[in-house]
Amino acid sequence: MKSNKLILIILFATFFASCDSELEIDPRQNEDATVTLSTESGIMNILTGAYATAADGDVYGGRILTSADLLAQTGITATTDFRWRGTFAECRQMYSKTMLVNNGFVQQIYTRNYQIINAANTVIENIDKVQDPAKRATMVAEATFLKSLAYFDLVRFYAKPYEAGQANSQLGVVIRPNAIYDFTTDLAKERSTVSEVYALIITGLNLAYTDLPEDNSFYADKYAAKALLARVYLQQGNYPAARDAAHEVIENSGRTLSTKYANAFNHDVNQSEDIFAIQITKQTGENEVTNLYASENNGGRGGDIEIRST
Amino acid sequence: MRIKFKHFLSVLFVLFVQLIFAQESTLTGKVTDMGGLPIPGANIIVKGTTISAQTNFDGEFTINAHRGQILVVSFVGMKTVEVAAATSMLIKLNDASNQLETVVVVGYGTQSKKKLTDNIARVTAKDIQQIPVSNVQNALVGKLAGVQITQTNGKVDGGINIRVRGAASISAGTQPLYVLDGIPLVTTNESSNGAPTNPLLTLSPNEIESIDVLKDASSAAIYGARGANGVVLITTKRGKEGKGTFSINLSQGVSQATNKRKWLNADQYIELFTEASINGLGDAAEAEDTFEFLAQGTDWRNREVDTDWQDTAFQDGYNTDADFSVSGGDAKTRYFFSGAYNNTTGIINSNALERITARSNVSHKISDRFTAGMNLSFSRSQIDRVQDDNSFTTPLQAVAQSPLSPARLADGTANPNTLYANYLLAIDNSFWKTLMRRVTGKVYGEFKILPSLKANSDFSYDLLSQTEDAWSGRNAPFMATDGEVFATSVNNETYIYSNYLTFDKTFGEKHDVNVVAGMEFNKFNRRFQSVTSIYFPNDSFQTVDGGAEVNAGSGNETDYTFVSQFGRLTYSFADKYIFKASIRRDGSSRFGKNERFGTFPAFSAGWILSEESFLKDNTTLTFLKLKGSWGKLGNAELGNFASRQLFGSNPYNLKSGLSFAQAGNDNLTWEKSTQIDFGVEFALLNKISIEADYYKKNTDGLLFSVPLSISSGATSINQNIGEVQSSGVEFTLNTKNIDSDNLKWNTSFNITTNESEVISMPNNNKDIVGTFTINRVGENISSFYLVEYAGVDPANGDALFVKNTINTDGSLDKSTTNDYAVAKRVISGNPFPTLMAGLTNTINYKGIDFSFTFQGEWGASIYNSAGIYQSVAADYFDNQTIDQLDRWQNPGDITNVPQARLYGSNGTGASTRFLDKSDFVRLRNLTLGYSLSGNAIKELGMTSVRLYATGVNLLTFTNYSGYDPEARRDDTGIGEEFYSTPPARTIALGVNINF
Repeated sequence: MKSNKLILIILFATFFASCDSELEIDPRQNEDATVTLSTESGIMNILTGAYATAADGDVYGGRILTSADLLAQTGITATTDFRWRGTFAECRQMYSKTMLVNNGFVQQIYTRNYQIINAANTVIENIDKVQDPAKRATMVAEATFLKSLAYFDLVRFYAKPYEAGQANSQLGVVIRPNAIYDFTTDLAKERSTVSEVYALIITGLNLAYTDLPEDNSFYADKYAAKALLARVYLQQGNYPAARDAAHEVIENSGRTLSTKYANAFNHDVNQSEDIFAIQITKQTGENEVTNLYASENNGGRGGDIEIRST
Repeated sequence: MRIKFKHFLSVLFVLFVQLIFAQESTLTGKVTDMGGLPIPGANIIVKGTTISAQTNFDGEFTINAHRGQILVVSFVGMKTVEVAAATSMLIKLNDASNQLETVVVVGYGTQSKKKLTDNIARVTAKDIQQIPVSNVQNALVGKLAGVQITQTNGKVDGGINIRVRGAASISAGTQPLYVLDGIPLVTTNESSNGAPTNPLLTLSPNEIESIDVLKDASSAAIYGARGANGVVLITTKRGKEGKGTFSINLSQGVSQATNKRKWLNADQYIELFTEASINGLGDAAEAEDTFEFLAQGTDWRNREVDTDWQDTAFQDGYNTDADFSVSGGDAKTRYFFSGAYNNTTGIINSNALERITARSNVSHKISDRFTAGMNLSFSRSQIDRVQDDNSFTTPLQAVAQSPLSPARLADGTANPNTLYANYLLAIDNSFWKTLMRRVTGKVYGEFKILPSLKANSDFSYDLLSQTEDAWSGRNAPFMATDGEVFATSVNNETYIYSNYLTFDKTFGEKHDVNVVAGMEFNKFNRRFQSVTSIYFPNDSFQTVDGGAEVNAGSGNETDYTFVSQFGRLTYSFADKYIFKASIRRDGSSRFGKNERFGTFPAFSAGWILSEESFLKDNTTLTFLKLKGSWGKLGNAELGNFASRQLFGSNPYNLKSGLSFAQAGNDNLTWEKSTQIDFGVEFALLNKISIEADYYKKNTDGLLFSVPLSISSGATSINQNIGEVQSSGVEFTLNTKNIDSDNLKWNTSFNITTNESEVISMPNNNKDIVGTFTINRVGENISSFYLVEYAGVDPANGDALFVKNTINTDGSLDKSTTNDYAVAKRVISGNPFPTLMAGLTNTINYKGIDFSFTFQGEWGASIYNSAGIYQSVAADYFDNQTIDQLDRWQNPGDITNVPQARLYGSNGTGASTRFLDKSDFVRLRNLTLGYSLSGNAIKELGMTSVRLYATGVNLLTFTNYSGYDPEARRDDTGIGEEFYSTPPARTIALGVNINF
């Protein structure tokens, strides 16, 4: 019967109708890496993204500061007014100097700093997508500044300290000179020495100082590089160099001391004292310092870190 | 020939009379069961007509029929029979619950259980109805061999974990695929507060006709890339030909926690902490200073305040269930309508669920060849939720508070100055309401092209729409912005379009052939948005618009698609030799572009020995079947874009930014699982039936987030690498112990063993170490990996640990040390059980029915990750469990609890000190019912009334020291508990009326 055959044909047609094109779907909240790396705006956004990573609570959004505070105390309540009273085991371990290998905060400081380094390397290697040569120089200088900042914190947290006047051949941290695009290969690398890492930091900051403009809104500028250099020299015990670098920032950067000490803190925008600050707003960035120090009314956990007053 | 005219006339007359009688006779009859008990409400239909009748209360009926016609007699739960119409018929109906005569639902069709070569476990409506639990999965516990159902905890919205035949994965999804009337359901957890919500809460048990769990490769392979964890087929009720029935069910129940733990009271707290302060710090000053603060002005020295915080967190729960259903039909149309209402108050303070569901299933035979129908259901659930287990304000974390702290101040407001944030402040000053609305529907048509060939076309739509409204007032804990409102809205939409042809024919009376071939297209979209606002004028403004500043918002969308073709061939010869083959080809947008498509074949075979001549007439061994199957399945639960290298939005100071988000792998694809199954089924004396199966599932290409060298800038990459194996034995025994006229007693017993082992892993089989678990080759998946606790040094009260370091000869050093950092972690337990059993007994005596189900699990352990706060002999001011009073005090004391030392970290390292075996046996359900009989019922038009009392989780037998072996944390972790709520013990009374 003709109608039967027709029905059968239609059925087979719908049956094996290929909807294979429906399988090509793109994510909507993320973008394929090849697309990002091929445009100028993509590269500029990666640089901003590096600052955003730095604003994460694991690093300059607080835990670098609080971890340093916790490590610096004796941990014996009888001899210090700084007490850890919170429940985070990770912080308790830092306070009592009994850090375990699976301490998540320790891992995250390491992870985020290397994310900053890889983002910075990506910007430097793909800078040819940016048209304006002046902009290129500034962006490369900013990326280099961020790299030095990240390496500086890494080498202070994860390696034995720099000893003034020594060769400093003790193990530092891994140096990644190039961006990594293919993660399916073996990426293991040896640690470099502390002296190699410091050499890299100082070279980077000098380049940044040369190429950064004097005023770069809230991003890194010339004097941010110089101020960081002063701290690096201080850490190395190179006091004359530290003094000179600091002096230049004090004289020439245009920043001044706050008229009242308290006014220097708790702001959404840079104040007169701020040479370089990671911007934390309600919408972006985190504030782990407030989280651990402040009372509940002020947005904290109620004093996980307690400064004893009596 | 002279024809005698008179004779001729009389013959005519007789014939004439006979014809008249034949056309207008009324026949009578009686319908009973095999024991002679009358069956009221049985349907009798004259075949080929619309004439029908129903039996009365005594089982008697009269019907307009004449000899030569066939009467079709049917009753729910009984096998339908056809009898030749006669006068004074006595029709006996047989129970359809004979295991072998049942029909099971397989993918895209049905099959008789007798000839099944797959392994499918089944429950029907009568096994799961009228059990007072808020979600359907809870009613299946203990009834299905090979299916482990674990309640996560006792919150009403608590999730359920179902593992079919052990684990088939580590990092990709582990839950089975749920298919409702052919529609794969969305089961993603859409909760924004850390604890999952269970989208299957939207199903009401009263709509369900049967649940078939496809356990082996041969059955599940028809679902291809999504079948590796098993498939749960849920079939809703249809109408049946016959007079319409109307039934209602009402029940009311009361719940409590199955178990509460014992904590220190004020006396004991003061005693233990004073001692700890002296031991740890030299004097009692620190403890007494803290007591002063906690007491908030009350006289702690005289124990003025002794708060039982645990009691404030628990409350009596209530369940109300009311449902109705209408079902019926005639030769052409069948219908089923139902509605249900459930109101559950949880056993935890401020946790409640209110749900309405409605369903309409209609099908109509438009012509001899063409049937069309529509199933449509709607469900609305409103849940008052509590925070996830890791939040300070989850009610059960109140056990950490000190008994010296008053719960409320003199004016009735919650005390804000407690050791930890007072959850009563959260309850008084915040809420979290989740509303789930679900519409699921299917339009289908079936066209008979030839008598043996039919075509089905189904179009289905599933919409899960969920909104969350979370308000926190100015006095809520951690509130620094004068109030906050967080509102979310998410829509999950699924479209499914499937077409398949079915060919079913018997050739030469011996060759039964059934072929199914078809395609399916599945498209899913999820759209999410949320908004947060802060700074409110006062607590009466509880919506986003009341806030002065909208300080956060988000919105995102994601999609996936599956395109599939499938086919299945079933062939049986003389009902003795059975062979089945199936294949499915799946493609999905989720897989990497080099590995888009996969093919999943499966084969199974069976031999029904009891049909062979040498066994056919054997009266002892009434049924014997051997079967085996092999097949490949996939697990596609990997996230929608896991194979791509991506950058994501990461803004800085309100400027847009992009950061590296995911390392890509173009070869990423589904996990592949190969499964074999061998089984034997036999029945003895028609009373005992046994099924035994051995299964082995190997999954390779496991989806692993393989760790990378962190200094590369990415921490991990998704790869298919690694293999696990899950194997075990399933055994099911069904017996009809007593089957007489008045008394019937049936027993059903099932037992399952399971070993899930890691076979290989990435990075050359390097261990993957988690917080408390490890995946190591040769060991159970996610084994616990902890330092071994060795008790207490009698000389000084130090906590001791076993070193477990490796000696030069390779053995482990089992000596002890009091230095936690020296001790090494070892494999210490299994978070999943290795042996599970269920036992159900059903007894019917005259009008009384009594049934109970026991469930047991052995081999698992639970790690209490809150142990470092709860049971550490007063290391910090959290209230302690009562067993800490056994602490070491004087040299020579032998005890398992170390000396109390405030801030001393004595025995506070994560270790097997906080790991406990969770073996248990539980009386899961118990139901006692009585069906009323008598004229009063008849006069009201009812066919049956049943009163019943039922209980869930009535008794638990366990040595587990925590709250309950089925209380685990719901935010993260495997086999961990962290202030987790125990399940509810519920007792309910109800009535079921049929009209």
